[in-house]
Amino acid sequence: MEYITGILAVFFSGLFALSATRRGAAFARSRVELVGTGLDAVAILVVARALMPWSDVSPLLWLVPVAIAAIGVFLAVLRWSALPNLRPGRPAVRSIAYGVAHAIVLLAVLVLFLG
Amino acid sequence: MTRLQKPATRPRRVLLAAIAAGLVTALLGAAAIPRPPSLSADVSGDDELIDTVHQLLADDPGVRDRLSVAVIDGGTVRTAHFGAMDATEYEIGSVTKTITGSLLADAIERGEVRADTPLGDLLDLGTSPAASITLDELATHSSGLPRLPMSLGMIVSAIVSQYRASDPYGATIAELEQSARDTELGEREFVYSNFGFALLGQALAEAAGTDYATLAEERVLGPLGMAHSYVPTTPAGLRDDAPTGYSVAGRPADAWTLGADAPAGSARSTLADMIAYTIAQRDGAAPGSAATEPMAPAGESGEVGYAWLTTDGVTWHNGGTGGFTSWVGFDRESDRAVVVLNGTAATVDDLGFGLMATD
Repeated sequence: MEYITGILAVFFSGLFALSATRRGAAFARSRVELVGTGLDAVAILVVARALMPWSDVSPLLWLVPVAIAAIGVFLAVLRWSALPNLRPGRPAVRSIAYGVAHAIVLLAVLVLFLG
Repeated sequence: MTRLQKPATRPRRVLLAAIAAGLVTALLGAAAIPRPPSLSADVSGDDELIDTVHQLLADDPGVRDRLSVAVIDGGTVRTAHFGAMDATEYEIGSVTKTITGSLLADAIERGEVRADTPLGDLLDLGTSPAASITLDELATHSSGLPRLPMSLGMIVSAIVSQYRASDPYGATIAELEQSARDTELGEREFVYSNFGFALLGQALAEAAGTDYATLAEERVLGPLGMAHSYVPTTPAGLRDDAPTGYSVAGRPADAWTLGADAPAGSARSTLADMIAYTIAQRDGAAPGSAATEPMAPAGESGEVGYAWLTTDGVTWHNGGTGGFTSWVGFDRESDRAVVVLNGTAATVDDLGFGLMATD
């Protein structure tokens, strides 16, 4: 269970980095989507940092998802100006509702954890 | 000329901003690198035992912090403390079950209950299957009850508490009885059950006309002079400055007080008190020490008495909460007893068995 959070941290950081590129199925089509994917990565990093048994594995492994997330941030800043705020071809209300729901879930996860 | 320079300048600025953002992220992440606690270097006690503990722990990775150990040969006691002292308080977790086992043996000796008294005679279980479970079936983990009540609430509580490093228990006695009424029994064979011991302790308290914490104090802890040991059942029942430990991830964990499940694991004690307790159990001098005698098969663990397991001649029990682990055991043939109290949730079973086997 605890180790799964480490795997998820690598996965979500990777997903964020991929979403900041221009290719592949995972790429973000709007700034809202890009920010959402980035917050997913941050949330799972926080959880993995707290739940992974760091005495059984080297704490240096923490730097793996951190490095991937840093690459994601680098790519996201590069791509930011080329992205629309909301996803083209999708009703704005739907995009905003999706973004708000996503934020609420993330907030609930962090409040549950840190509260 | 100005128009020609703009396109070249702008991407460069963005590139620099991206590099800066990436570096800041990497530096913040690196600054947050996990730093799990390690075994305290503040060491006191028997030098040879300290070396032995270090050697045994080298083969047993896991987060460490405070640790207290005793090896007792006959009447000779050797202790080792790491970041602790004789009076340092620890949660002993499921070693509490051995207190509950002693309370059952003692209650039988007093004539308050019989080994085959049905649980339904003492708790409000109606005509549910759990009402037919006998006290000795509970004490030998042979009642057919699961490890924990399989309610949705308990499952959610277990997940959330692991997430928050908090106490997953806290039911009232009425809720505990309701869970028992709602539970379908499995085969009456060895299945380690916290649920069963919670019911057993509450049933014994009911038979004695008191609450579990008072019963444990009056009949086991008090008579053995364990003045620094007690059984909290709520956070408010913790003594001032009651210490907390660390999870297996090295995260500070809440104290466990367990509510109505206290008879399964909420006791707190010190090395000095647990030395007295374990010697008295080894020597048959503790109230209800008949609990230590093997009575039923316990699968791979060997045999089980009232809570106490007997494996290859060693009578033992371990304990674990969100932030502590413990191990107590003895071998009447070699006259050795061992106590290990640990301030993290990393197991100390190998350390306990290892100390039993060392020369």
